[in-house]
Amino acid sequence: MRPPAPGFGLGFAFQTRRLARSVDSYFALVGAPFFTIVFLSMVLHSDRADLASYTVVAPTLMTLWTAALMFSGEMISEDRENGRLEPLVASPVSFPMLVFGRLCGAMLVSVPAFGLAIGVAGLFFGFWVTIHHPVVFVLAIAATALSTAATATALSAVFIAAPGARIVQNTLSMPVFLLSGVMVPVALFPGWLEGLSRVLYLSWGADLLRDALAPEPVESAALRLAAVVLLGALALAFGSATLVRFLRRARAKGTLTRV
Amino acid sequence: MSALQIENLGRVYQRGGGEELEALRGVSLEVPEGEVHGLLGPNGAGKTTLCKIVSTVLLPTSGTVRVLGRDVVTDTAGVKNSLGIVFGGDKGAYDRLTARQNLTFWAGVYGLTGARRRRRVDELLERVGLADRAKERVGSFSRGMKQRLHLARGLVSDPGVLILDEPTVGMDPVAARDFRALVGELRSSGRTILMTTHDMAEAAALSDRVSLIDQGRLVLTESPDTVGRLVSSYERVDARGVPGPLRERLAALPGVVSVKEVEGAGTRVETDDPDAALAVLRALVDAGISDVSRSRPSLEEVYLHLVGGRGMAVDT
Repeated sequence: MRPPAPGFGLGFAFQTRRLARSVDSYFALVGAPFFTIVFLSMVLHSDRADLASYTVVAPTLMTLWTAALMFSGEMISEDRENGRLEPLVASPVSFPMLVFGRLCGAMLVSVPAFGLAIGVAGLFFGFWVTIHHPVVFVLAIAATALSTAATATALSAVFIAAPGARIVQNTLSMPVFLLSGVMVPVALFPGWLEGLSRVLYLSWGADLLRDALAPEPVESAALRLAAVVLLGALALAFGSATLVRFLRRARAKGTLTRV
Repeated sequence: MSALQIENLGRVYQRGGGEELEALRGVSLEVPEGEVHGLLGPNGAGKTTLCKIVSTVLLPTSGTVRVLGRDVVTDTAGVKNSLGIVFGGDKGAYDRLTARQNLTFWAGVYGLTGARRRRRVDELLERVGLADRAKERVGSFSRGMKQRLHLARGLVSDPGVLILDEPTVGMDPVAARDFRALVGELRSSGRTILMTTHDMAEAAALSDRVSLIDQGRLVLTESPDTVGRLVSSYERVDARGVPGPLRERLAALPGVVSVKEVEGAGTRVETDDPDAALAVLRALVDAGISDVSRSRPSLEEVYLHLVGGRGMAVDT
């Protein structure tokens, strides 16, 4: 018998190839410059130039999460509608790993978002961001992107179980942006809410990215990176198990192809 | 070893309001290795449900299915490695990618990597006649070309068993003929093929044996010739210019089942005994009628006879 197909690498390579061929994959980027303009205007209007770096990190992470929501749903829905879901499920590839790989590839969409945010901040406001801790920054953005893809894998399971779950895409954006401290640091939240925020990998990732832009040394960078990765790994484990369970349920109910 | 062993297979779908739809009812079927098996039936007969269960994308409600000895429920991974699947229609590919990119992806899905994957993709593109169009986006392909790509996808893992679910549905006649030629080649390579169709000529041309399925039940399993002979102990004689009194005499002959007027064929006499056809011919010639032809019914007529003339009507 053949060994199991390498779903992750295959999915990643496949999705990056698709990104190059479909302009609509980049729609998630549209918001980044606008959010930068709005946030930076507010910060400068309040004489809080010290928070300006926040306004560059926020649009990047918002694009990352928006892309995760968009792709996790569209991927399953499109494969279902175009008669590809059944052949994929019938193949020996690990479906959760294929989805995770594809979502990791899709996360590359957010790379230009950071460039767009930096460019808008510099060109429109004369505020040029300096990355004072580039290694931490790169590791933090990679870990956050991986964990976002892992969380999106769990979300994709919802689309297996409920084909009409597109509303999830619309409802999960703002609560996550607020709760994870992407726009406002969680340290400013009431204690109980901050505790809740720390369950979200995005809150650790956002803080770490902001600290990587600041001149001060980044405290406990390794530990905080580990927190991002650990929460992402938990999301991936949960997402994989849920996908497998929901696929089995769809096979039992005969709803795999139901649109 | 049998390539496919289906025993007492049942599948019930739950519909809204607690209503149940029994798509398969106690189907048992054995397909030996190397056989091309045609599964015939009208829309809604249960053909696709059976294919989906064999393909592991649908769980049975009762009964068992084994593919090359592996159970589709308890050894799903083993079954997936032994099967190739081609579902009908023009959906199933990534339209924005080229034929080669599509096939490369699916080869990866079946665990092929590196040079082996490239070789396999080239070989299959050549085999299905798409090598010259390999760099074109699949979205620009005709239905027949897409279907050929689907066949290549089904073959990418060089499976022992191939499931073709209505592979020529919607194809133009030329594309369907080419596709059948491809299936004919696969047949000679010793692969086991389960092919659903409601095209009787297709089943007769390609299959070693044919099963008729209707309302979730297997009506019979035989070779196309045997199925033909079933009703051709039922032969038929067509004649033009048969006067009314002679028609009555023919109807009274032993072994004559029916005498009717058929548009374009004149009078059609159907018999259920080989000797009866001879008696009919003799009576016609004796009466001076020379425009006479004798034939066996097509598989389609057998099929219509066995499912009670309901033909292609969707079962509701």
